[in-house]
Amino acid sequence: MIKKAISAELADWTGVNLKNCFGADECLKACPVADPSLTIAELNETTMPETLLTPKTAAFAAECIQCGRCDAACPAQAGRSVMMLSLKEKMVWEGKAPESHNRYFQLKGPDKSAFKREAFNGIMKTRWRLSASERIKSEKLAAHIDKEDFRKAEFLLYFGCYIFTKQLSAAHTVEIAEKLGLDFEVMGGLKSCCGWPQLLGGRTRDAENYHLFLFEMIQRSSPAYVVTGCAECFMALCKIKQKYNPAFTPLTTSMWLNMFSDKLRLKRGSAPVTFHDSCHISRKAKMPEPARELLAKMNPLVEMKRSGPMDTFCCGYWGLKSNPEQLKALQADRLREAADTGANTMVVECLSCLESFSDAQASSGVRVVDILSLARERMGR
Amino acid sequence: MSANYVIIGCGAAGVAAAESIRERDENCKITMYNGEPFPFYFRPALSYFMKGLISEEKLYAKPVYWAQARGIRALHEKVASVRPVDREVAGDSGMVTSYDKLLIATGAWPVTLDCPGANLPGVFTYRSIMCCRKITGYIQKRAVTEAVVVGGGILGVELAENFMSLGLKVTMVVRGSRLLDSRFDAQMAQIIQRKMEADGATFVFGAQLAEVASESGHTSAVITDGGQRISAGIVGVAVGVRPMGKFLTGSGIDWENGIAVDSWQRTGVDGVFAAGDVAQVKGAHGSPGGWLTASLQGARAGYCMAGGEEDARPVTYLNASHVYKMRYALVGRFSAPEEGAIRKVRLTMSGEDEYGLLTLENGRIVGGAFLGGADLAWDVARAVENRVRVGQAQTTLDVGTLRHLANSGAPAALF
Repeated sequence: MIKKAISAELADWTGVNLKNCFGADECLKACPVADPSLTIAELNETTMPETLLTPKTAAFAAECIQCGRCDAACPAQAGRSVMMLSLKEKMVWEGKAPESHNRYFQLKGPDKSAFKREAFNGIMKTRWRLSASERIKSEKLAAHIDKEDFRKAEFLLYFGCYIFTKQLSAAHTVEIAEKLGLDFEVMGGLKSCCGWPQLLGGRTRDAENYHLFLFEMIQRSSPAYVVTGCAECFMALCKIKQKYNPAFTPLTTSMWLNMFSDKLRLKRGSAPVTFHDSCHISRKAKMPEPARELLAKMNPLVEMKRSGPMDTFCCGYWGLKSNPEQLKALQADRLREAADTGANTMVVECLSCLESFSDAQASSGVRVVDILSLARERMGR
Repeated sequence: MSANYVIIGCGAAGVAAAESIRERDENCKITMYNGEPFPFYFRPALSYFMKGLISEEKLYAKPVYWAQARGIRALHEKVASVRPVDREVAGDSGMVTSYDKLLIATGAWPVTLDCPGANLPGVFTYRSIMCCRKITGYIQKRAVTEAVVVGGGILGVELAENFMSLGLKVTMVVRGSRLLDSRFDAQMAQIIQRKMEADGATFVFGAQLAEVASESGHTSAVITDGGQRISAGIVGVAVGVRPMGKFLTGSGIDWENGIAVDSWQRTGVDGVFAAGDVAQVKGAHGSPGGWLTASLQGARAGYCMAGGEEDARPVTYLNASHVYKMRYALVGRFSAPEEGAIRKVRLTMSGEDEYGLLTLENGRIVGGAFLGGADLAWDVARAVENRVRVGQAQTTLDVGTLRHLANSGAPAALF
């Protein structure tokens, strides 16, 4: 029986919404990655619990970046992006996940090889120590990687896997918390992976286990707020809040910094900047305002042609690892759109967006910066 | 011996029932009668097809292998009669199929005009792929530039929109005093009318057609009962639909503008079920109807036919779609008149042309209607299922509070 390929919660949703879909084709038209020859009939048929994927729908399941443009475009409110999660689960169950996905998940999560994880952590810590540009990470972050003991604190700065990204945002977050004199604790590393990438990759059971593990880890610090700069981590924290109803409130870095806008004493710049909405924060969690509120204190904002919860266009971070050429084209397109606003800086809210655009920005002439690092630049001494 | 199911109708309800039966019973025999010359297609997407936004191929809702993969015997044949006494269905060809359980899911068909000229070339109803083909073919062949749409319901507005997108000048002739009077409230109708007027549509309210006039054998104008003559190369008729059940005459199955069924889609005759537009669910006043309702009723019927146990939970029906370039959604019991235990609460929405309304019974949310944005539809459906209560004194509610009430405070994202 193929039915077990789809978890119960998703199966319920998918069952109703497959019936709700009336074939307007708007989802596939709005999709940045769909094969134009794919029909709703084939997509819906293979999304059903008891059928097998076709080569076209298996490729689509792998490449779907979960940006949610399909949801915003659907006149029937059928929630295609959630149905795509069912398709992704089937992709994993049928053994059709691309190798790039398997590699990506190799070390993430508390259930992965501790030996390999320690080796990885060791290499990263050494690299940070030896690199002039990354030494700040050695000072601010190295001691926190995969640690098990947490002291009680009002704010838990949660970095998960993004503690290892090339950029300095995680270290900057700690630096700002210190400057503000906050009562904070830090959590990060592969072991405390939030589970959201697993959900987006069709590994729902792993995702749910990781949410539970993360929830238990967070409870050790009993925070009032958990702060994260990654949209996927934020979604996972919201899910944990919904499922386990803990006392903490999840915050994005924008929401967090807005709490201290007076103390930050941000200096205003005159050059206009543009803002790239995160699909997860602006569209799925419906919170496009906190970042704009923060930006308003720093620079004049010029919106891109496709912006805001309905229309923002994904950075391609998730699924297109399996199709690098398409990923490059998508990012170049987005950065061109940013340049068309006349601004030479594109601010992002999510660290995955920052990571995704980091290679593409060099040739575009647009500087991509995360909102927290921009705020750090503008903070009064 | 394996059970033998017959389904009359190959639309949303029939197909959902077939899938539901097969899911519960891998070995049964399923026969489907399809009276249309096309396989199952997305009927609500016809407007996209007529406007040229999607190809006919994209209208087909299932892959060609759908029936074969599920071992379903799909007959392209109309049903001539049903004999519940013998548990038999006879097709147009005279071929007889016996059944253990029967589902009638024949849907509804447009009502036609009965005034002089109603059968002239150039007068069309709007319900199927064939209707769309005929309408667009006629417009092209006769180089039509002006249209009259008779009827101001959802289908009338949709047909007017289709004509306008094909470059025709449209006049709507509406019997009532406003558009959409059976579904939307006056304010919602006003928003839609204003948008249509801005795009050049004109309206004649409180009028019916007295005659369709012709020139050289083709439609040239309509004359209203008030004597007004409106020039029209084509007339779209959207004055309502009628459940299809002529073949049931003499079958003993009760027929009163549809087949009365209980909440499990059972008719009064043993082993006979009905779902979709042909069924009238007892006590379901103000159900939003439409595609999802038909599908869910079909699935429920299939589940029950294949021996599924009764489930007391009521289903919250939802109908989200588009009306004149805008989204709308109708949830639960949205159109109950405001009296007794029923009252209505306005939602304060952000956009100028956005409108939202909640229906409450004894202080609990039982339905809602939205125009402009429909993304709250599922929140309301959840609120109905969770029997969410709204303060007695409140006459308005903001969107954030509704989301909070419906989702226990967490952001609305499910996954």
